[in-house]
Parts: sequence; C-alpha cells; structure tokens
Amino acid sequence: MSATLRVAGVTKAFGAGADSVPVLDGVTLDVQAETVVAVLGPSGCGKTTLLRLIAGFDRPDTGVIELDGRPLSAPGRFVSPEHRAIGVVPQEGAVFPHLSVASNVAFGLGRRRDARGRVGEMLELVGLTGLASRMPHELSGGQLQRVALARALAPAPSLVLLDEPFAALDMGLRAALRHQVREAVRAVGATAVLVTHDQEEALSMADEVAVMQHGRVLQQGAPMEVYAEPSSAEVAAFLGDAMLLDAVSDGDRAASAVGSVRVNGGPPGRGRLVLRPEQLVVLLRGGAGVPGTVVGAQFFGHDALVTVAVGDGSTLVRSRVLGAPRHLVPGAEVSVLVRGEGTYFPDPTRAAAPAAKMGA
Amino acid sequence: MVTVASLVIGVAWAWVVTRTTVPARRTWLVLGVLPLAVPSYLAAYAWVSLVPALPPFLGSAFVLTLVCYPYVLLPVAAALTRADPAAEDVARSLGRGALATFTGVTLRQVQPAAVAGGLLVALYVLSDFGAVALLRMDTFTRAIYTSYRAGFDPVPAAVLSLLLVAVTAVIATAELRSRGRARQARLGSGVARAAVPTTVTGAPRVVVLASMAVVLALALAVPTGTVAWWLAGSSRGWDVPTVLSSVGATVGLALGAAVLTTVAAAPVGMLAARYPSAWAAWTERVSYTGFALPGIVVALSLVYLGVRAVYPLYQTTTMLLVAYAVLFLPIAVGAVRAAVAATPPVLEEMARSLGRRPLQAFCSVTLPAITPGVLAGAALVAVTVMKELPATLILRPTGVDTLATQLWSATSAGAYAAAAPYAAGLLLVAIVPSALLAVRTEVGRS
Repeated sequence: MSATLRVAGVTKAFGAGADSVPVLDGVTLDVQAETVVAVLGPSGCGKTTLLRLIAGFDRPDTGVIELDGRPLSAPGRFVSPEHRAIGVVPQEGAVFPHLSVASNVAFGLGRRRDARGRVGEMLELVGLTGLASRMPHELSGGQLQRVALARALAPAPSLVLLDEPFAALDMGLRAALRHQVREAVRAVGATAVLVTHDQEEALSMADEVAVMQHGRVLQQGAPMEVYAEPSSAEVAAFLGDAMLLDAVSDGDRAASAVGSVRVNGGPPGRGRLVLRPEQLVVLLRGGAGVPGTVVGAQFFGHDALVTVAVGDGSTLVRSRVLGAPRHLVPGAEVSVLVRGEGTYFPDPTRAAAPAAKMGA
Repeated sequence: MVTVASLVIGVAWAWVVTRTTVPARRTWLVLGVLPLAVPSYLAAYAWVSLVPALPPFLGSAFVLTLVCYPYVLLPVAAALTRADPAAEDVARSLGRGALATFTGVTLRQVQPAAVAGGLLVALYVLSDFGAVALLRMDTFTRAIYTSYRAGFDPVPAAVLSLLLVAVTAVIATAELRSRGRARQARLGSGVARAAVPTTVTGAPRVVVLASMAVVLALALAVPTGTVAWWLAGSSRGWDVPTVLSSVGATVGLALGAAVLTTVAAAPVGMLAARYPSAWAAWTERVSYTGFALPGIVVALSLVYLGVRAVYPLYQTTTMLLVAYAVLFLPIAVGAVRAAVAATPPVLEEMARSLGRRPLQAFCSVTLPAITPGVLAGAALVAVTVMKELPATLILRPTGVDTLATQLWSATSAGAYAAAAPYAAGLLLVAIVPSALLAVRTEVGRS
C-alpha cells in the first residue's frame, strides 16, 4: 500500500531563453514508506513546484522521480498524473463545485463495487459523516479541506501530497485539522509529503523535515535532529528562533559576545556561532557570566522572550525564560550564561575576503 | 461613435441595475437587454417612418446605438456581479472618494468585459447593412453592396472588403492590448460578499429611472409600436401558414447555427483561455474578422466557393449555416473563453490525479462548469442569426424564407401591412433568447 519516493537532482526553470527563471536547482529528497515528510521553506522557494512535479502536473527539466523504484519522471520517460496513483490535496482544496460531498469523494473510485462503502469510511475518517449529500458551497473552509483530503485518500494512493492544506484556516482549526490529517494518513497507511512554510506545522506533523531554500533541499532529517544539529546557518535561522553571533573558534570552544561557548568541533578560525534563546540563562547581576542590560521583554504567558544588550551594548541576544520574570524589566543589570553546546559554522566569505580585496 | 455611446449606456445601465437601490432592478436589467431582439433595419425603418428627415450619419449612429448597447450591458452586468466589492471598500478606506473609486477600481474590474462588448459593437457597426442602407448613409458596407449591384464587378467589392478587414485588425489589436496583463479572477481566499448597493433616492432616482425609460422608449417602444401600427392597419387576413413556416425556418436556422458556431468556437476559446500564447491570441483575433466582414461579403465569397469548388453545397442549408458560423464565431469564442477562464485549472489537475485521462477530466469537471456560459453564447448567436439579413438573402436555399427575408422583401416593396406579421413574429421569437440571457445574468447574482 505504502511506497518509497525518491527525487534526485531535479531541476525546473520557467520561461525560455534569457528570461528563464530557475525554480528548482537540483532537488534531492527521499521519503521512506509510511512516513510523513514536511518540505519546509519560505514562500517562493519552489516547494509547490516540487509537489507539482511529483504529482505529474509538470515535467522536470532534468533529474529523476521514482516511486518504489519505478521511474515516474526520468529522461525519456513520463508517467501521466492519472497513472501515478498519487493523491493530491491542493492549497485551495479545489473541491469540485458541481458535485456533492459524496460524489467528490467517490470521484477517484471509478466503478468499484464497494465505492459507496468506501465513501462512508472516508467521511467517517475525516469526521464528516452525515454531510455526504451536501454541496460544496454549503460547507465551511475547514470542512472543504477535509472533503479534499477524503477525496485524495479514497482510492488508497500509496503517496499523498499536501500543499499547505491549512494555510487558509484559522489557528484553532489548523491545530485540530493537523492532528486529524496525521491520523487519517496513518490510518490508511500512506506515505505523505507535506509542503508548508509554517515550521510549527512541519515540526509537529512530520516524521522528517526537509528544509528547502532557493530551489534546493538544504537538510533533511528528523525534526529534533535538524533543530539541534542544523547543517548550515541558513537552516538554523529558518528552523526555530536562532541567534547568529560572530565568533572565533579554536576547535573546541568559540569566543563570542556571550563569552566562551563549547562547540561541536569544526576547523579553528573566524565564523558564526548559532545559539537558541532557550540556551541562554539570564540572572540578576552578581554571579558568573557576561554582564548585560535588559532592553526589552515580550511576555507570552507560558514564557517570555527577554532581549539583553551584552558587551559594548551593540550585540543583542534573546533568552527564553519560563513563567513571568517580573524582575527582568528594561534597564535591569543582568548576567548571561550559556547552557550546553553551540553550533559553530566557519564563515567562507571571511576566509575569502583578503583574496577578493587583492582582486579589486 | 456608436461604440462610445453604447459603452456609456451599457456600463451605466449595468451599474445601476447591479449596484444601486433603484426599485425593480431585475426588471430593468431584463428590459434593458430586450432591444437585442430588434433588428437594426427594423429599428431604422421605424425611425424613418416616424421622422422622415432623419440625417443619415447621426441617424445611423443613433439607431445603431439603440440596438447595440445590450452587447455591452450583458457582459458588464455579469462582470459587476462577479467582481469582489472588497477592492472597492479598500479604495474607499485609502481615501478615494466614491467617484474616484468607481473610475479607479470598479471600472478597471469590468474593463475586460466592457472592452469585449465594445469590440462586438464596433464590429457590428462596421458590418451593418440594413440600417445604413435604409438611412442612405455611405459606409463601407453600403458601398460594397452598391458596387455589387451596379455591375457584378467583384474588384471594388473585394478592395473595400479588404479595407474593412484592415480596420477590424486595428480594432482587434487595440482590444488585445487593453486586455493586457490584468486578470479577471478573484485573488485570495475567503467568501465574496455581495456589494452594498449605493442608495439612490429623491431627484437622482427620478433622473435615473426617467433616462432608462427614455432609452427603452426609443429602443424598444418605437419599433414595437410601429409594428403594432402596421398590424392594426392590415385589414386583409394574414397568410398564417407562410408566417408559421417562416417562424419554423428562422428558429431552425438559428438553432443549427448556434450549435455549429459553438462547436467551432470551442477549441479557439479554450486555447485562448488556457494556453495564452501569441499564437493562440492571433487565432482568436483571426476568428473576429468574420464578424467585421459584412454578411454580404462572406455570402458572396461562399457563393463563389460554392459555384467553383463545392457545387453540391451551393444553395443548401449547410452553406448558409457555415456562413453564419463564419460571421458570428467571435460571439461564441468570447463566451467559451470567458467560461473556461473562470474555471480554475486545478480542478482538472485534481481529476487527473484521481485517475481520469485528460479528455475524461475535461468532461467530468470542466464541461459542467462552463456549460451555462457556453449556452449563453449560443443564445446570443441564435438571436443574432435570427436578425441577420444579407447572407440569408443570398445564400438561403430556394424556397426557404425566414422572418427576416420576408420582412425585407415586404418592406422593400413598401408593403408595410404585409410586413407586419413577420416583424411581429421576428420580435417575439428573438425576445425569447434575449430574455433568457438577461435572466441568466440575474440568476448569477444569487
């Protein structure tokens, strides 16, 4: 039922000749059977194009797309969308407006004898039992998205593609639907690729996250792994809240505005140190740590984000503090400590800078 | 001149019946569309018999405007119903006044519809024969007809026809430019709200209602009144079987032409809407030439073709239907293009991903969505065919008489009383699809 998807070296450009705009620049993605992979990236990074190529709505310029070892798009080979058996839930739902809910869900079932039973099963799965005879214009946005999901899952596809399916919904509905979709996909044993720009959605729904930027997948892995060990400063900055500080590393420790921090190796030299706000501890001045002054605090209820000026005051760092830190008001004199290891990236632009100067 | 006047009347009327609080808006919309059923030569006849001293140029422009403005009113009313009023609200909140909002936002939203309607009017005027012939106005079309009658020398007719094609090319290019990069589709998600109608009371309301009533009186009451007068004056009994057979021929030809034209228009319209390219745009443009060519030119060229190349088809219904299709293709192409453009391609992609082949996907998803719009185009073709005169006169099979040809031969002979039943029949038959068109626009609102 479930299948392994392999995307290798896929490129795609739109337009012709000098006006050609590259959208995908060698995308590689592996999706194991019965997992949910979230492709996470900012708007315009090529996520939706990638999904359309996997679905077969567009042809890649180069590269290979395989499902269970069977090439779908490869040089000299293209399987049309109706022969791929891949379910798609587009951003806008695209529920057929002239068909009832039941007919929409039954659309991909053809003349199967158990079609009616299957429709009932699917509607139960997405929580729409009793709405089978409604027309799409009688449904709310969230209900329409669930119809689109039931329609995609009904023919039991081995792979389901979800293109920002919750983008148009409000926060509360989004959280509820996320859970429901996760369960529904798991219930039918399908493999799923979810495209989103919402990192909370990606991190909470997916078994694996693939961070995409400028038409490439920068890093793919389990959410916690990608969060804790980003492969580049870009990934770190995109996934979760991260601070990038100038630092000098000796291979073991890096010196920065928040003091000397243990790092995960890397070559000695100048570079950037990535720290998460929850790694910083802010205490009233007195003990160990780097001195600083609180310049602002945002309170969220369960925690607060405190901004501290350290060093000569030109470097701002953020610390996540649990509860309501009433003593950390702007102007408070504090000490900043770093918990755990930082992630250090040598900076290639700095190493290359003298050479560039000579060239100029 | 006719185009400008038609645009002013059509857009204003559409706005009044879709966006203001005047009483009985729906009735006004349907009434406003009805002049579509009045053939230009009938209107011209009525006016000439009422005001014999009507100046040729102004008279022609006046009469043609009265029968042409529904071509603008219909698409603009439909576009105003569809347009998202949120954009207007935003313009108001950004400090634009009501008038600035109307010209800057509302008009821009209906621009593609208005320009498409204006194009139809411009081409109709270029090719009109009946009205200008009656008003002795020297236009291209009449010059062609005169030279044809004078000596059967095809050269002047051909030269003048080519000039007409050139004028059409210029107008059609201008329309293509104006369509530009704007899209008619709604942006963003969420449910479109109905617009809050502008309140019109007191003196302005009286002025608005009075001016609409005046236009209706000029466009509808004068021709129908004239026909009624003729009817009352005809003492002899009517030739009922002939009238009925003409009605039958008219309806049959109109239906046949509507089907053939729509089928021929489908690929062109879909190409233009789905795969916009220079090639598709020009295919669409080329289909417009037929509408600008006077019916008599198309008819003569088909006579030539029939005599020289496909003699068995000469003077058959098939030949006549082909002539209608050539003449009225753009009406149907426009309808198909608008209907397809309003249907998002993602629906077809979904059908593909659910296992339908391209043709199956089209039939199961796109076809149901575009059917109403395409049928509206077919109805418009049917109305126009019913009123068409020169091509019918030349190409009709021997012994076949439509209401229009009967009316023409009776009025040319000055036999107004004899013409009356045909004129009445033509108005009644043509009013049916016209009213259907108006009602469809109105239903689209709910």
